[in-house]
Amino acid sequence: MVYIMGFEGSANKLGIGIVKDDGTILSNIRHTFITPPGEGFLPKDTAKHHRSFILSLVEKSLEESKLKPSDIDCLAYTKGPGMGPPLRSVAVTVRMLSQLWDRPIVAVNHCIAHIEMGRLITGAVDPTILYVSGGNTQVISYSLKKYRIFGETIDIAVGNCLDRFARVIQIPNDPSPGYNIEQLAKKGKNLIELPYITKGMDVSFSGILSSIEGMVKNKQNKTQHSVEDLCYSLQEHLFSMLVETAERALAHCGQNEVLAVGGVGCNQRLQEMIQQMISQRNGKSFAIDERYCIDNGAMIAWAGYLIFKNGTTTPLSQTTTTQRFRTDQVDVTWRD
Amino acid sequence: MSTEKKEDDIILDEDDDYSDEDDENKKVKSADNLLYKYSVDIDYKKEQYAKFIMNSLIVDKEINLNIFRDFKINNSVLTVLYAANSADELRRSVNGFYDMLIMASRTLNSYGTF
Repeated sequence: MVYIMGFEGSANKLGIGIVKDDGTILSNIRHTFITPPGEGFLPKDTAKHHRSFILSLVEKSLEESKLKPSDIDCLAYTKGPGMGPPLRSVAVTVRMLSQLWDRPIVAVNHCIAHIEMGRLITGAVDPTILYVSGGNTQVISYSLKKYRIFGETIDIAVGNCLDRFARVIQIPNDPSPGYNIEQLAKKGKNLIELPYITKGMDVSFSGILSSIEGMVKNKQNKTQHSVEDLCYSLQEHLFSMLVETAERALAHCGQNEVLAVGGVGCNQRLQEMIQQMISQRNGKSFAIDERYCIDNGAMIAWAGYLIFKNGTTTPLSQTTTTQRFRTDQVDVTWRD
Repeated sequence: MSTEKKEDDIILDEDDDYSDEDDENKKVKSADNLLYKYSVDIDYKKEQYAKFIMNSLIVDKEINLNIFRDFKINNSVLTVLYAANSADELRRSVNGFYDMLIMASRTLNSYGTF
């Protein structure tokens, strides 16, 4: 039996997870850094949060798994992409634990960890992957030892657009701004016209964000829209763009499965829209719930295991972090 | 073997942040000509632990190219030297260093044996 401990801290969520080689998730503990309404999380404050919680989460993770440090075979951590200071804070801890416990380290790409966790949980074999979160928006398909990016955002991520809109309308960041927008959208009734910007396989969200921000801020000059209608309209437009590019990738690759991963992949309206599209193509959609959609340590552990089982580890002197780490930079040694 | 680059080769950006060749050339390599210096000695009681701390902290390069940083170990004592021409830059770098040093030391306190 092989046990892998995974460390994730690339954004405002700090997660520690332990998985077994058969894919069993023994623990998956997470703590989220939550800022007041109207504010985003900054790198320095986020790193401080991660540093103050990481050792207690390691302890809880071992406790919940009923394991001792000596039972762990390998430590996996997020090399990137993500915010610099939070990534480095987690990496320093992992390096210390690696030396104290005398265990190897595996560096993991955050995006690939989401994909592999999605594949593990859903059992999807060869899906087109829609990876949507606060930091990333990509349409990905596997081919020839790489997770190829067929389409992506050319500016901000879809989750970043949602989060920044949440700041403008001052809704809480607890449990997450995206979740709170989703709840408000359910009460929306009127569709407001907004920019719809797909560019072939790519998408762009900065224009729609500016447009909807303008509607909120220039209330005295224009028609009043309720917050619920704005949330509803924003979701309908953003998710339609994503579904369109995902469908284009499906058609291009001849696939008939879609897997949504990343924090925004939790959104039930997005899942519904994907399901509608894929059922018209006689295909199948896969989605996972917030335990695994949202950044977590178990996904890093599982991706780390897939790398580790082929004999690859990361030398201590190379356990750096990087804020930019493209999905297609990784050699996928664990797939045919 | 042809040295000609194939047309369909995907050119990937393999460089890490802050670690390309140009930056290496610009980086300050000595403390000799710098105005401000900061040095600290920390005794970890075991030489092995001082090495663990150094190994954990030395991996991450200083982002600011104007900062000089050096680690030395003498038995169980870790010596860290920071130097810069700007007091403000030095202060920021040393603060960042202490954040990580404290994180590494806390980890040592949790799982090290004394």
